[in-house]
Amino acid sequence: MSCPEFEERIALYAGGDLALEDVRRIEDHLRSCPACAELARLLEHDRVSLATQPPEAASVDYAAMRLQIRRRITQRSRARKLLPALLAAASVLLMLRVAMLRRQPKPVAPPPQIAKVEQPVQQAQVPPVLPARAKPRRIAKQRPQLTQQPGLTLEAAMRMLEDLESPPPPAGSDSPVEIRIATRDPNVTIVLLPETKGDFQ
Amino acid sequence: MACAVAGMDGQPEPVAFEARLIALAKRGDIEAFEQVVTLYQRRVFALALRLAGSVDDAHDVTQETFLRLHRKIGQIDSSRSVGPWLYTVTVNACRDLGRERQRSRLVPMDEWVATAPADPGANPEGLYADQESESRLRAALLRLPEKERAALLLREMEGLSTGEVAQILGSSEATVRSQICNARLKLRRLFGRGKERKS
Repeated sequence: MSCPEFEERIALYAGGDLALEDVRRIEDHLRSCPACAELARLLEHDRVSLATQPPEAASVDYAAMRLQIRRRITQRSRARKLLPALLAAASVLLMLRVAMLRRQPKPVAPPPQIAKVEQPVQQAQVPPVLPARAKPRRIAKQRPQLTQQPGLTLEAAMRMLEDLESPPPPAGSDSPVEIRIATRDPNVTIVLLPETKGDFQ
Repeated sequence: MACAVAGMDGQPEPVAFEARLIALAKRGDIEAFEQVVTLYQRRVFALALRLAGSVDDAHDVTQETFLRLHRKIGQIDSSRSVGPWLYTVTVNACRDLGRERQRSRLVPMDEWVATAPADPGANPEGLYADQESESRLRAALLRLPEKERAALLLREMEGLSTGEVAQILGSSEATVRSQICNARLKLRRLFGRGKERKS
């Protein structure tokens, strides 16, 4: 067992890192202490082991390693040569895109009056409205479209509205409309006839 | 050997040779760059292996270190050895790798198995450690705190001064001296425990 208070200095002494005055003291101690002398001897042995090359270093294929390094250098230099070209191509594409965006005409916002005029023209292309008499409900829904027809005056629109509200009698029947109401008595039937001016049928 | 011989520009011969290679590599000479890699590949791999603990990781770190060298070659001061710069990158790459893997590869000392057997004919002068002692050494190193391990390896494997290690690790010399001292003692204790377990 070496002396703990000397161990550190012995380790420095073994590596030649000790100051000259300490070297003399340690050498005096080593002469008198076999355990510390043994420690110094083993530390010197370790230093020799560390200075000796590992056996694997002798068996490495260094030529293959150099070839591998050379390949990687070549790959990297190729990539370096390509990089400016790629950057240039990317910048050209970017510039072209910017130029195209600048050339495109900016959409001009139409004044509000023009918008009002153009809107009915677009609506005129809507398929024709079904006859009002056949399906009154649809006519009611499509009524706003009629009012938007170009050149439609307020009077004409009013006339169309009246026609829709009081549809003419079905085509082919000239007789006035009469409503017959049946009662419990089969011999009694109430007949309602429209009133006409002047004469009674 | 040639370290004492001065080159034409007053630099030691190996540094002057390295400086010429770096200058050529800066001009895009890939052959010169590969010669720089050849000069340092073994040392960088060995350092990475002991820092990271596995052959696969050492391969990855070594490649990454030299790729970074190629990337930053323009910033390298050719009047100085590129070694400390490479060791700094190696230490940082190992630290990044360790954080990524969260030390998932760390295995107990007894279970450690070498991933790449050494070529028996490649160590004629006893330059390389034997596999068993290397396994124990590496397992013990992996138990040291990251900075202590790096400081110790840079000092003992690469023979750098305390000041150079401090520069690489971004610490003060006093801190590095303390880290190296602690690492030596801890490693010795771990080795001692390993031997006790074996016996």
